[in-house]
Amino acid sequence: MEILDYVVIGSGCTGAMAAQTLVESGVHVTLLDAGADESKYSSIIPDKDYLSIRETEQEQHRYLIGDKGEGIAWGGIKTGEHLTPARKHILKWVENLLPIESNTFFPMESLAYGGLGCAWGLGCCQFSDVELNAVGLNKFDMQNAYNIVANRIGICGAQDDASPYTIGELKDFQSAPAMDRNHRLLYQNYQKKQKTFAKNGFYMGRPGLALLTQAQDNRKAYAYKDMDFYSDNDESAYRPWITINRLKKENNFQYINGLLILKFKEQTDHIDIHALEIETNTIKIFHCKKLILAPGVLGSARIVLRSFEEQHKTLPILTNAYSYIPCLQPAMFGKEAEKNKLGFAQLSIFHNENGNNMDVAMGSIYSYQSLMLFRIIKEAPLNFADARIIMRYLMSGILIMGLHHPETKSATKYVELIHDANSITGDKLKINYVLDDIEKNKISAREKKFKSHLRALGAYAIKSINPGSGSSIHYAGSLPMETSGNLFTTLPNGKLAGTKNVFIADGSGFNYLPAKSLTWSLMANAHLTALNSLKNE
Amino acid sequence: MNDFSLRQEAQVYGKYFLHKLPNEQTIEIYAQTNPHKTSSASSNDQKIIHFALHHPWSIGFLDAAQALVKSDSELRKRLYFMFAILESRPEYCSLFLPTKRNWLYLFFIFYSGARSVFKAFFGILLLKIITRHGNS
Repeated sequence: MEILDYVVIGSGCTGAMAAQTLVESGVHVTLLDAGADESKYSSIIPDKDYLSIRETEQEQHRYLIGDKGEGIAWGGIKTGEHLTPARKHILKWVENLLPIESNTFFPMESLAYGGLGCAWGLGCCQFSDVELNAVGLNKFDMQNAYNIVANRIGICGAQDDASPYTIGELKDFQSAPAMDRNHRLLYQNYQKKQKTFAKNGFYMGRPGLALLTQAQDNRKAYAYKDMDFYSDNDESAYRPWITINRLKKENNFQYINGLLILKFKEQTDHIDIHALEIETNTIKIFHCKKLILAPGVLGSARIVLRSFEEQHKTLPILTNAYSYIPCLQPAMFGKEAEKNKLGFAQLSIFHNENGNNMDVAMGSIYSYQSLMLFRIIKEAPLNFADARIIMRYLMSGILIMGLHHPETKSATKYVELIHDANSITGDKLKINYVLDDIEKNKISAREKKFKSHLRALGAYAIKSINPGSGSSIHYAGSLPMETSGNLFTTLPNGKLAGTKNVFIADGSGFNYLPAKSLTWSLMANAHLTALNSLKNE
Repeated sequence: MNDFSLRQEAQVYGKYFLHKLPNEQTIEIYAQTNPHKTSSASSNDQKIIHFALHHPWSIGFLDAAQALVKSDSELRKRLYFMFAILESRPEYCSLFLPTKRNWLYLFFIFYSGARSVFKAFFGILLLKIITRHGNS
């Protein structure tokens, strides 16, 4: 029986960071993963900018809308609807292997090589000291971890009004990418009204992004091709598979894919890991000394609930309330398309409501171009032919704000693993996520404030689109961090309570979910958890 | 009920957007993506599509009306697919990219909006007639 040293589950942002920390420390690491990959479209996307592709490429329909039209979403607005054909592999196998029953929660999970990190919007924010405290993380450890992760993935940003909420105290960062005309105008208007905004607790500036604006480690500088929703050709945008691809070259790392991890069982001197081989539908058992779970919050919940075999156990769950708000900036109407553009957020706006850096809400602002006209035309209450004429004038003035709200636990937000004879794994996650009236009112009031402040900058909200709880793709809190040592909790060092050698490296331990972009903090925590797993405590 | 092939359908819908027949490749892509495959068209939907395909002049009216009263209708879905396909063809991309404004642009915006509203009123009447009286 071969006993592996360290096994990491999942190749997403947290799994990649935990694995890198372990590999760099010199121990032997095996990463077990489903690893759904994409090659059909990524190989045919030319290395050109979006407008040149649109004007010249005969095959563009294949990767813009898909061979079978799979990129054309019709019907109600759903989580993940914006995924383009080249990103659809993120959802491969999910419906069959990760079944969910819920009419109040609509999450996105991934079994892809690189996990949800393949579609990450790259937003990077440091949590404030009070937020870290509420989450359950140590601010000194996290500050150091933020720097280490930033060095690994490459972060760009700027020192401006928003930097206390974005790059925070990070010293080593690349310059922010150039803004397009739409954002430049909005930002100029903000600078004129800075004082009034500050008085109301609103701050705008450049977001921190896991994007290289200067070449680094064989990754190219961002080239403003505006193909960010389709391709990672230059590797300027950080994706977790970049880390895994590098680790594969190390002698003390091995990657095994095609597996869905079901559960673990701790024996006296090792841990058994039960995995389903996806292709053959057979069970495989691996053995290891230490296990680091990083399959994402819902994935960890499934694995831990199966492993502890406690009937009818419910676990808490957190997700940021999220809506996106299309806005029109009339001063930009009738401007021609810009060739050099950026698909990621170009401005962030924060609302520090109470002035204490707690419960800060965050809006990320994007231009609308490369997702094409057809995705928004169906929202217009006009016939498509006339809507097309109008939208061509309005398109350059469209801004989309994605608005995240902070989130706390409550008894009406929980997950439970229930029996399901039709599921390959024999079970499914039942999720209940209900906000009370106070929470709903707070969200609605905050949304109104954001809209009125955008209006003051000359950007008028058309509507709010709320795809439902879970659509923020930020999840946390199912195995809360505490010192009690109770089952189904995480100890402050990341160890799963009730086990000797199982650690949780994803956001399952977070007791509070700030509205800020989460992934940098998740990766920093994964790094710390991996370090803790190296200690014999 | 629908005696039109996917290719014939593509010609009708393409002409609605372009005011001329779409090229062969566009028709082929429409047939390949086949918006029918995920259809659950009700009998009313089928009647409306049947009417629209036999009377292409009515599509603008039906589209405008359904944008207000049943924006997820089967006819709108098929038009939407054609819209997306045309947008992803280099020959037609200039019809979908942002356009530079001239001094008349506000007039074009309001005229197009008002035209759609007018079409919607007539289209709602047409929808009632079609759904009551069935085929063509």
